[in-house]
Amino acid sequence: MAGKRWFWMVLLVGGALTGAAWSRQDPHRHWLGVNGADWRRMKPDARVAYVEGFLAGAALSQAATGARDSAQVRIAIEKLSRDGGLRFPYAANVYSSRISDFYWWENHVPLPTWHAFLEVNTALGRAITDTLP
Amino acid sequence: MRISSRWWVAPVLLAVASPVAAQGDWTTYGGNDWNQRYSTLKLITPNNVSQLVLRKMFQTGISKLGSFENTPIVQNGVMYVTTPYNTAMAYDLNTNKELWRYEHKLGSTIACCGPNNRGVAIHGGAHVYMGTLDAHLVALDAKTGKVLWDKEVADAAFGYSITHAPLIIGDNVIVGVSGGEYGIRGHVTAYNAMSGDQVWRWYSIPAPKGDPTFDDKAPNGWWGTWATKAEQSDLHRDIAKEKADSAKYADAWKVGGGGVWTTPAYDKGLNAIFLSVGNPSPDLDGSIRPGDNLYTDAIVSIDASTGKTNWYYQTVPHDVWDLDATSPPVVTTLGGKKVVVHAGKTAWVYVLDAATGKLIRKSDNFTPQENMFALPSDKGTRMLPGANGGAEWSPVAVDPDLYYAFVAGLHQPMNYITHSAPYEKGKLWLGSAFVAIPGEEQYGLYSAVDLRTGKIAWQNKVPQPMMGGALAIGSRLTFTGEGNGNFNAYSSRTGKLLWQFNAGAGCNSAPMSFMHGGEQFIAVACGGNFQLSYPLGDAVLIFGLPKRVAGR
Repeated sequence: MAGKRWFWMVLLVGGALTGAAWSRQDPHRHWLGVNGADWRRMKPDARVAYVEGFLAGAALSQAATGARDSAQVRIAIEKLSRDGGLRFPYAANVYSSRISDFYWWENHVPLPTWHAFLEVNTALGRAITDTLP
Repeated sequence: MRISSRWWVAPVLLAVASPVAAQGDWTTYGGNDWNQRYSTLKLITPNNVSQLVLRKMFQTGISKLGSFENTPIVQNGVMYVTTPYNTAMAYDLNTNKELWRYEHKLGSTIACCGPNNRGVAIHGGAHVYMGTLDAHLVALDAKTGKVLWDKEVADAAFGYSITHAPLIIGDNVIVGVSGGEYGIRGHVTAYNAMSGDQVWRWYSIPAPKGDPTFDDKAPNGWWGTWATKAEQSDLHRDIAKEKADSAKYADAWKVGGGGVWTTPAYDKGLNAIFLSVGNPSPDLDGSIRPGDNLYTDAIVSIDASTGKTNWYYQTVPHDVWDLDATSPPVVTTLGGKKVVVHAGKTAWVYVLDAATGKLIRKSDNFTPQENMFALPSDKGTRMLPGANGGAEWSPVAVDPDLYYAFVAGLHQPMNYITHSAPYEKGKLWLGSAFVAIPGEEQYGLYSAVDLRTGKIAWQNKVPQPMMGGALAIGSRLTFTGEGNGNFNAYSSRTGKLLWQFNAGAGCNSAPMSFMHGGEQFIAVACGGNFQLSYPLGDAVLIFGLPKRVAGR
C-alpha cells in the first residue's frame, strides 16, 4: 500500500512540476499525456527543465512521505540527497540523455514520459520494486 | 659482415629513449609509460614455459563479485591489487600475507558496464592511487593503506565514474572519467601527487569559440569538419540535416560524453600523453548531437605539462554504433619514428605518428568486418564487428623487437536495430539496440599484427569472444586469457600454443610479469566478466617455473 501511495504522490507532484515546465511551450497539453513525440519536439533547454521539474517533484514527494510539517520535509530531503537515498538520485543530464535514447526506439514514442523515467531508473539499477497499479 | 653505421645508430638511440624498465618490477598498469605491456624478462622461455606451475594465489575474498579487470602492480616485493567495487589491497610477496586492504565507501554510482576497477598507480614507492566508481581519486599510504587524501574528481550524480588505473607523470597523477552513456562532458585531470591539488584539466569535448575552455585544435568545437568518411569507409551521414539542426542543438557538447575508459600512455621525449576517448552521448540518438562529436572515438595527444591538445585522430566521426576508442593507446618505435598504436572496436589497428597524429597505416582487420558503418534500421542491419568490437577495452601488448601488436578480439555478429517490437516492460533498450544474431557463431581471435606492414602475422581462434588483454615478454612469449578460464602462453613469433592452465573463472584481465627472489613470474586476475557472462571469481594467480627449474 505504501508503495502505491508513493507512486501516486510522485506522479501527482512530479507531474505538476514537469507539467508546469512543459506548459510554457504548449499550454493545452496535459502533463499526463506528454510522451516521446513531445519529448522529441522539446528543445534541449526544455528537456532539462522538464527533467529537473520531475526530479524535484519526485524528491519532494518522497521526502514528504510520513512527514508532519515542512521542516521535516526539508530535513528529510537533505538527508536523502546526502545519503544517496533518493529514488531518482541522478542529475538532469543523466536522465535527459537516457530518455533520449529510450525514445530513439520508434515503438517507445507513444509511451508517456513518466513511464520513460521509471524505465531509465530501472536501467540505472534503481528499479522500483513496489507493485505498480 | 659489414654493417652500415646508419643501421645501428638509430636502434641505439631508440633503445636509450625507450622507457622499457630493465628491472623486474611492474610499476604501472601498462608495464611502462608507453603502455606496451612488454617485460624484458627472459627467464621463462619458449623452451621451459610448458613447465609453468601455479606458485601463489591471492583470493581477495570480497563479498560482491563483478568483472575482475585488474592488472596488479609490483614494487619492492609488494603486489597491489584492486577489485570490483573499489577495494584496494597489498600483498607481501615474501610472506604471502595481506598487508592491508582499503574498502572505499561508495556513494551513489552509475556503473555503465559493471562495477569495475583496473588497477592502481604508485608514486615513488610510497603512495598508491585508485580512482573510484563514485568518481573520487584516493591517495593511500603504500605501507599501511591509510588514506592520505580523497578528492572528488567529478560529481557521480551527474553520471561520472572512474574505472581505469591512474597514470603517474613526475609528481602528477593523471586520471580520466567514464560516463559517456549519461550525458557527461568527459575530462582528464592532473593532480599533484602529494597534495591532491588540481594542476590542469583537459576536456574531451571541445567547446565552441567564446567558451573559457575553447580548444584551438578544434576551431569548430565538437562539430569538427563534418567528415563523411572514416578513412575510406562511408559513414552514411546526412550532413545537410546535421548542419540545419546544429543551431537547435547548439549546447549538446555540454553533455557530449567522451569518457576515458583506460589508462593513457606517456612519452617523456615528446612530453605528451596519449588518450583513447570513448563514445558520444547519447549513445544511439545521433540526431540530437549534430557534428563529428569531437573528440569522441578519437586518439588524442595532450601536453603533459599544460593539458593542452597537441593533435587528435578520430576513428569514427559521429558514431551511432558504439564503435568507440577504448583500448589503451601504446607508444612504440617504427622505422626510427615514435608511433601510437591503438586497437579499435572497428577491428583495425591504427598506427599514428606520435608527433603529429597523422595516420601511418591501418592494419588489415583482425576480426571479421561486414557492412561497415551501415545505418541501423527497423528490421535490423547486420554489421560486423558488433558493438563490443573488434577490440574492447582490452589492452594490447607490443613486442618492440618483433614489431608485433598482440590483440584480443571479439567476433559477435550483431543486428543494429532502431526499434524492437513489441515493447517489453523492464527490458533494457540499450543492450537490445545491438542484438547478437541467434544461431551465429561467436568466438575470439588472438592476433599478432605486424605494425610494419599492417598484416596479420598469425591468428588463433578461441571458443569465446575475448575480453581481458595481452602480455609480451622478452623471450618471445605472449600471454592472454579466455572467458572459459583458460590462461594461455603462445610463441610470439608463430602463435603456437605452448602452455595452458584453466583457472575455473574467466581470465578476463590483462596479465603482467615481474621478478621476485631471482625468479620470473606471470600474474593474472581471473575473476570473469559479467557482460559476457563468463564465470566470476576473485583470484589473482601467480605462475612461475617449478623451484628446481627456476633460474636455469
